Amino acid sequence: MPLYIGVSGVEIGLTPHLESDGSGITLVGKDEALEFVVPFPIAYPTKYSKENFEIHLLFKREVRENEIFQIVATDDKRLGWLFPLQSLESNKHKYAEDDNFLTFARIASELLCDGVEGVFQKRPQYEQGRDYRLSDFYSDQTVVLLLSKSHADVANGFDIEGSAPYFALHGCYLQTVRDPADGVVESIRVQTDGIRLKPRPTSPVLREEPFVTALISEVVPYEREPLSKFFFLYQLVELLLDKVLQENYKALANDLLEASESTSSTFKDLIENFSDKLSEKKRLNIMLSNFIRTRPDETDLRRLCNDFLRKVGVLALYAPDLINFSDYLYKVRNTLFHNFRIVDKAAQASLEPISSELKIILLELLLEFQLPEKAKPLVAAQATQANFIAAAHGDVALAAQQDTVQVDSGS
Amino acid sequence: MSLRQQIEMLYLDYARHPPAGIRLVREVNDQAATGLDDYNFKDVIEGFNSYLERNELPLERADLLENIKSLEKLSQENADRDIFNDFLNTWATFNKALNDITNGFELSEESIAESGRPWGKNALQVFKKPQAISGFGAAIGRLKDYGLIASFQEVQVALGNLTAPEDVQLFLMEINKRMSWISSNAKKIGNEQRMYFQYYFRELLNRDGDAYLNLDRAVESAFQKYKSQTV
Repeated sequence: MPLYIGVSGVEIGLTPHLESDGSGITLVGKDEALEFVVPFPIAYPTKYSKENFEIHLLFKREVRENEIFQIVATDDKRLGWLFPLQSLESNKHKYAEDDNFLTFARIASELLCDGVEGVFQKRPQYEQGRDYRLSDFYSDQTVVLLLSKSHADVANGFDIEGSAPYFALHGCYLQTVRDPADGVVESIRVQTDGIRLKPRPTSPVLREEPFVTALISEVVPYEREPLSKFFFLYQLVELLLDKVLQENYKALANDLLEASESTSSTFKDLIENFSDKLSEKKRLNIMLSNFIRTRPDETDLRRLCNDFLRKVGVLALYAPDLINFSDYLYKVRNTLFHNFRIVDKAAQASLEPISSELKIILLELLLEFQLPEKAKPLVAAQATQANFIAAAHGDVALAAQQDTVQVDSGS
Repeated sequence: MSLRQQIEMLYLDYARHPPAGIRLVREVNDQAATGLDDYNFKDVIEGFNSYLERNELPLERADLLENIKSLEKLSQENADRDIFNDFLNTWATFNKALNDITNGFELSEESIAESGRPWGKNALQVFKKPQAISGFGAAIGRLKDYGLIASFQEVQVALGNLTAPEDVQLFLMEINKRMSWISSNAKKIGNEQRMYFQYYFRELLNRDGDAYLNLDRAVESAFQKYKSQTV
C-alpha cells in the first residue's frame, strides 16, 4: 500500500523517487499534480539495493532516538539493524557517522516511502512548499527492523513472528494498523550491551500457536486495565500448562504400554501418580522444573504477589512469604478469578506492577519452554528448584529442608 | 536548493552588514567559523528566528512564510537590521565573556578518555552550536515577554558580571555530563538539546532566579527544568 496525502478532501497515492545524490526522496502524486521532498538528515550512501532487504515495523512508546541496535544471529553474524523512526530524521544519534547504519537508514527510508503493509499509516494534508518527514506518514513511536534477506531467514533461526516475545521483552511490539499512541507506556528492564541484540526465538513447541503472537501484538501492548491484563496473560500460563498436560498424557500412555505385562496394581499406581499431577498448581511446578531451560528471575513478582495477598487478607500480615511460583501466583489467580469482591481499590492498584512483572516472566517462559526430553531428571530438577528459591531467600537451612521434602515426596 | 540555503537567501542582506568585529560564515562559501569572532550564518539565523518566534525548535520550510511575515513586520518598524545586530552582538558578548572567564581552558585527553567523546572540549565548543544559540534566542525572547529583560543592551551589560565557574574543568565536565545524558535519553536528541539550552539561558539571565549570571548553578538548575518537561 503506497503512502497517501490528502488534497481538498481527496487522498492521493504517492510514488517515491530516490534523489540520485542520496539527499532525499521525492514523493510524486498521481498524474504528477504535486510533488514534495522527504529530505534525509545526512547524505546517505547509495550502495546496495532495497530489494535485498526486508522491513518490519514495531513500536515502542516513548522510544529514545539512541535506541539503535545491531541485530545479530547466534553466531554473531549481523542480520540488520533495529532503530527508531526518529533516527531517520536526525544526525544527532550515535551512528550518524556509521557507514553501514547510514546505508540501512537510506534503504529503510526508501522502503518506508514505498509504503509498508499492515501497519499504522497517517495521511497528512498537503501544504505547498513544506518538507515532509517520515513521521508525517508513520507513528513517531515506530521502531524499524531492517534485515538483510540473505542473512535473516528461518535457516538462520530468525523469523519475525517467532521473535515477537523477544522484542516485547525490549518493549517493542509488532505494529498493527492500530495507532501506537494507544499503546501503554512501560518501563522495561533491558539487559543489553547497548550495541547488539541477539533475538531468541519462541520455543518451537509454541511457535505454531497463533494465539501467542496475537496476544503479544494485539492485546498486551494496549491493555491498560490491570485485571484484564492479568487475565489475558494468565491465558499464556494456561497454554503452557496445557502443553505440560499433553506431555503427561503422552508419558502416561507410554508408561501404560510399557507396563502392559504388569499387574493391575502397577496400572493403578501409574494412574494414581498421573492423577496426582493433574491439578493446575502441580502442573505449574512440573512446568517450571521440567519444561524451562533457564528459570527467569521471580524476585520482584514474588514480593509483589505476597504484598497483594496480604493486602486482600489471603495471607496473614506476619505470615512468611509464599516462595513457590505456583503457591503465590496461583493464590493471586484464585483471588482475582473467584474472590474479586475482596480486592479493594488499594489492592487493585498493586495489580498493575504484578501484571507487568508477570508479563516479563511469561515472555521469558515463551522463549525458554521446551519439551522434557532434554530437561533435567524430575527429582533432581525439583531439588534444584527448591534450592534456587531458598537461596533467593538466603536461607541455607530452608534449602536443605526443601531438598528433603521434595526428594522424599517422590513427586 | 536546501532549506538552509533558502533561509540564507532570505537573510542575505544581514550577512553583508554584520556588526563590527564579527565575521559571518556562509554555507555556500565552504568556510569554517573557527575564530572567536566567527559565527556560522545559518546558526545565527536559527538563533535569531528562535528569538523572533520565542521557540528554540529548528526552522521548517513551512515556517519560512511565517518568518517572512515577521521580518516584514520588523521592516515596517525600520528596526529589523538593528534587532538582528543587537541579537548577534549580545550573543558575541556572551561568548567573549565566556572565553575570557574560562581562559580557553580545554578538558584534558585523560578526562575525555574517561567520559567518552564530549559535547564540547572547551566553553566555546559547548556553546557555539546551533542548539545553544537557538536556546539563547528563545530564552531572551521569553524573558522579554515576561518583563524580566528590557533590552539587548541590558543583557550585554549584565553579561559583564557573569560569575566565573569555581572550577572550569568541573564546569565543563558537568555540562558535558548533562549533554551526554540528554543524548542517551532523549526521544529527539536535537530538539531536547535546544530545550536544555533554552532553560540554561533562562536560568542564567533571569534576575529573579537563583542561578542569575552564575554559569555553574545554571547547569543543574536548567537540567532539572528540562527533566521536569521530558521525563
